[in-house]
Amino acid sequence: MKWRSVKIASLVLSIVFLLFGCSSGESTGSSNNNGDQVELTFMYWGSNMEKQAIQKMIDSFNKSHPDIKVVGQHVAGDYNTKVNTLMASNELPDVAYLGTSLAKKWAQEGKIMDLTDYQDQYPALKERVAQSYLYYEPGKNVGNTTASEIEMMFYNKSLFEEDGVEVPPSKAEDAWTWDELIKTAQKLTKDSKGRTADESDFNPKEIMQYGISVPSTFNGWLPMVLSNGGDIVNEEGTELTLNTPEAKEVFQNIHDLIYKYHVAPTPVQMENMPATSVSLQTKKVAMAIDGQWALLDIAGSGVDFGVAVLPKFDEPKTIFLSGASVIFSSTEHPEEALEFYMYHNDPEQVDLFETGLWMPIQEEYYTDEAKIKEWTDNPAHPEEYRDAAINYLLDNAVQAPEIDIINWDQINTELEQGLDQYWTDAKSLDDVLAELEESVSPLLEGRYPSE
Amino acid sequence: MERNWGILLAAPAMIGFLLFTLIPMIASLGFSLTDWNIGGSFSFIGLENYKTMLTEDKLFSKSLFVTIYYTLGSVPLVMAGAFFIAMLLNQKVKGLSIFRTIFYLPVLVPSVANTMLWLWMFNPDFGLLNTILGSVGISGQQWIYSESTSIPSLMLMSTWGLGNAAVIFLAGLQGVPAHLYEAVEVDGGGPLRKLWHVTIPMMTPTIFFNLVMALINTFQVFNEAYIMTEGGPNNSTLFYVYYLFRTAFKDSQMGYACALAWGLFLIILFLSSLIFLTSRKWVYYEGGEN
Amino acid sequence: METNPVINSEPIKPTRKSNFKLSRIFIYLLLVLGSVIMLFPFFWLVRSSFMGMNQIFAFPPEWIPKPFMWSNYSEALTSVPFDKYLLNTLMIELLVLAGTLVSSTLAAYSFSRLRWKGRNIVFMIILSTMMLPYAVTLIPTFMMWKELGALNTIVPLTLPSWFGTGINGVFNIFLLRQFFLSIPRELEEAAYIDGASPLTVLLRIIIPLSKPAFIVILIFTFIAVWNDFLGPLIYLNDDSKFTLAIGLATFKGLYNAQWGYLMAASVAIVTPIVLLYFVAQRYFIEGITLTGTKG
Repeated sequence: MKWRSVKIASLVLSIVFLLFGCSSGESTGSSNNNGDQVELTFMYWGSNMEKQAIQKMIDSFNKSHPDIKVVGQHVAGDYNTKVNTLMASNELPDVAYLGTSLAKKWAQEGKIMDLTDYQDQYPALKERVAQSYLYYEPGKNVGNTTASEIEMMFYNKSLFEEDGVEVPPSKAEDAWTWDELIKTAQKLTKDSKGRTADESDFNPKEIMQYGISVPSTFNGWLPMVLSNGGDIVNEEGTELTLNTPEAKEVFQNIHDLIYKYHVAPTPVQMENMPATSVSLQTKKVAMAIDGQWALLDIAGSGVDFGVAVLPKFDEPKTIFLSGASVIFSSTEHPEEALEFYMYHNDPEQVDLFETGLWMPIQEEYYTDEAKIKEWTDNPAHPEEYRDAAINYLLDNAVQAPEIDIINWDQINTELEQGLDQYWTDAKSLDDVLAELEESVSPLLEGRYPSE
Repeated sequence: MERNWGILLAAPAMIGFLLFTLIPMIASLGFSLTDWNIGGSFSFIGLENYKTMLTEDKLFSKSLFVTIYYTLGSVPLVMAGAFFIAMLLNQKVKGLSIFRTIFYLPVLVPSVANTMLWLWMFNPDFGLLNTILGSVGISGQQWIYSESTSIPSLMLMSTWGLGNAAVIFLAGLQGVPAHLYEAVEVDGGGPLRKLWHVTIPMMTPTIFFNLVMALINTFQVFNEAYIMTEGGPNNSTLFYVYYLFRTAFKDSQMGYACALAWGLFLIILFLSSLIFLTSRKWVYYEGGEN
Repeated sequence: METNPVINSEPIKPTRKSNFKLSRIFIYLLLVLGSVIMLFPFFWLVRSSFMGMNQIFAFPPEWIPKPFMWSNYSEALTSVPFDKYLLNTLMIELLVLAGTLVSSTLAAYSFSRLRWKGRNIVFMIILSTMMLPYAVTLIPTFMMWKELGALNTIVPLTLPSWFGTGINGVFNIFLLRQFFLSIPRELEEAAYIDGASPLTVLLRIIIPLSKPAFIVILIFTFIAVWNDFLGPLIYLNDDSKFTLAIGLATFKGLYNAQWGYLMAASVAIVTPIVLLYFVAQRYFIEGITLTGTKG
């Protein structure tokens, strides 16, 4: 009887070792060399749809470059955790997406390749949109952002038509003043009985449709602050400048949209609105300020939409933001990595530009008529897109703080926590700004160079 | 002979500890004595991190407070609820299998989906909880959106997960010898006497286990902050492990994060030791104490 | 070995019959009420899984999907290779469950039943490893596995279970130890007198009596592995190796999420566990009293 248990035990153990053997046999890392073929790893994030588009691009690259094999590593969920773990153990991919602030930080430590060294070899590196360059030291950059993005306005055309309200302007020079914004938003904010916000018996407790939604993050207020002549920090990046009349005016005005005029939803309400495309489609909001990337879902939702520039205070301004694409210094094949780097966000190779998720970084796609048509001549990009997005980017877009300000990630965490209390009306603006002064000042280390 | 067998059988676990746990733990202790910033500098700074932690870092004390507050509320709630449910489930009632499955269901729902559900329930405008309150005339709460009610809201949310503890209590209840109950009945005792004189004493090993586990786990609460609140509003739900995690993997400050971790370790160790030491007084082992 | 005693007693005296019925009804009431409360998350999950994006977030909330989007399921489960992910997850489950059963049982038995010097200290030390947040041992452990060449395999996710660590490892040891401690010594003493070795006692006496505890461990560990996200995220690079938890996370992008798909996938992932649990928990009913001898 004792033997029986021994037999069973050994059977179990052998099965187990077999399973181990099978699974560990596939542990070929990225050093598999098929003859002279170079293998590269490319790490990236994105929704499932993006993943498929990227994989398609990778496949076509591999096909057209038989001596290089790119292996795509999609990371679902927490990108920071994964990339930090890889960096800590020196197990990095060759080419990857990376948060802009983190990219510059690591570049200063020498962990990311300086692509200015390759500008003669790849002249196309010099022909990108100005704001997309990511300099971390004077004369040195990690390359560019993966794509271009700006903050802009989307709106539900049918809601405007129904009520005979004038749609928002698509040209920056016609940008609405704040008063014009309020007036229009009021006409499009309706309570459960259909009364609009400018009517005397309007019931702010039963709003069914909001005139406008504004993100509570810096995406929402920073363009306005810039437009009003203010900024988050001073030129050297050593002082917080939010406690200034320019910034405070903007904060107060956005706050009023929510609590005084009742034309915008509170941040809590926004959290329960899943996506701009859905809120426009379900007529929860008539206008929405969001990033250009929202175009993808909005166009796909079937709603009759239009795009417009943001309202202004003084000068029309928006911000340019995006994640970065980098090549890690630890790569063993910098030449091949660069080949792929130039390829991976080429509008001819990836369809994420036509579908509306990305805007190109290559300058010719903004200036050359034929090239512009290539990515905008489709149902996803309405007619006024040329003015509201393309020209808006060229003429009025300023680099977002994540590109510009050192230590931005930590600073932003503090800013968000602090300002949230103002947006939820839990604290007064002065209290919040005073507290932010305290918590943010020790984090300020200046700005990165712009060239 | 018993000694040899003892060591032999515990050997895999001891080897596992040495290989897979001890070395990383010592490494992290080592890191805590540096200013290691992932991708950047790495130099030995001694106890600087600990000093910063205890004297300068406001978020350290804040997150510790938040975590203790949460634990003090959540653990008793969940323990009591789980015990009660386990008792109910231990009855001879029709459809018991189904009931037992139902009570365990919330534990099986993936965090991502669970978070969505609770965000909806907590919604101040149209969420379920405020709707229920409204129907009995109580004004709506801000739940997780207000500093003062955020932690109590999360405590409420934690009771949904009592299935885990309940299952363990149930297994423990199953092990209470029948003849002990019969003895009480013979003496003319009713359900309350059975509970006090038989059930609870016999369940003390299980209660002890659940208590220690609850302490260790609740102190390391993470998901709610990671997925739902991101520590807000105004750091009122900045749980310690979430703060630590963020420091390590978002701010890349691994050295400091390790110091934070060891700080927590000492605290949990201290508290569990307390429970272990006092356990001799109140835990009864049928199989005899060691 | 019969089923366990009812705590709420069936009274001895006939005059208590009416109380008996009342208490029964009361219990039923509580159970039903509790069930409704507990079922809520699941019901919300299921109803959302059949809805389109706009309906999920409609307010006031709607309960009947209009239209019934079965397509959520077919699209969610095919747009991401869930079949591959399922196989990968099951493979990990098998290895982890087997490993943790073996190693935790051995260790727990040693810590509870065998006397040797330093036993309690070793136990406390191993137990204390649960008190250090995973976040800080993650990177050193990762580095170690890198040296061993085990990155991008399931070895880091499974091998530790065979040594009493890994997911739920220490928890299982602790649980079993408590359980073993409540087994009366008389049973073993009889066996020892007959000349049995500790291993025989373990196999012949302790293990058969601990079925409820093993079921608990199996269920907990199974669920923990099923839902484990961080481990696979860190150690697996190839899409072909990903697990269900990662597949689920794919639906939650950085700026938006395909909620309908997410809900559908969640239901699909949860259902096997529910079934497994439903089947397994029957063993609670057929549980064995620890007195061993009855009557």
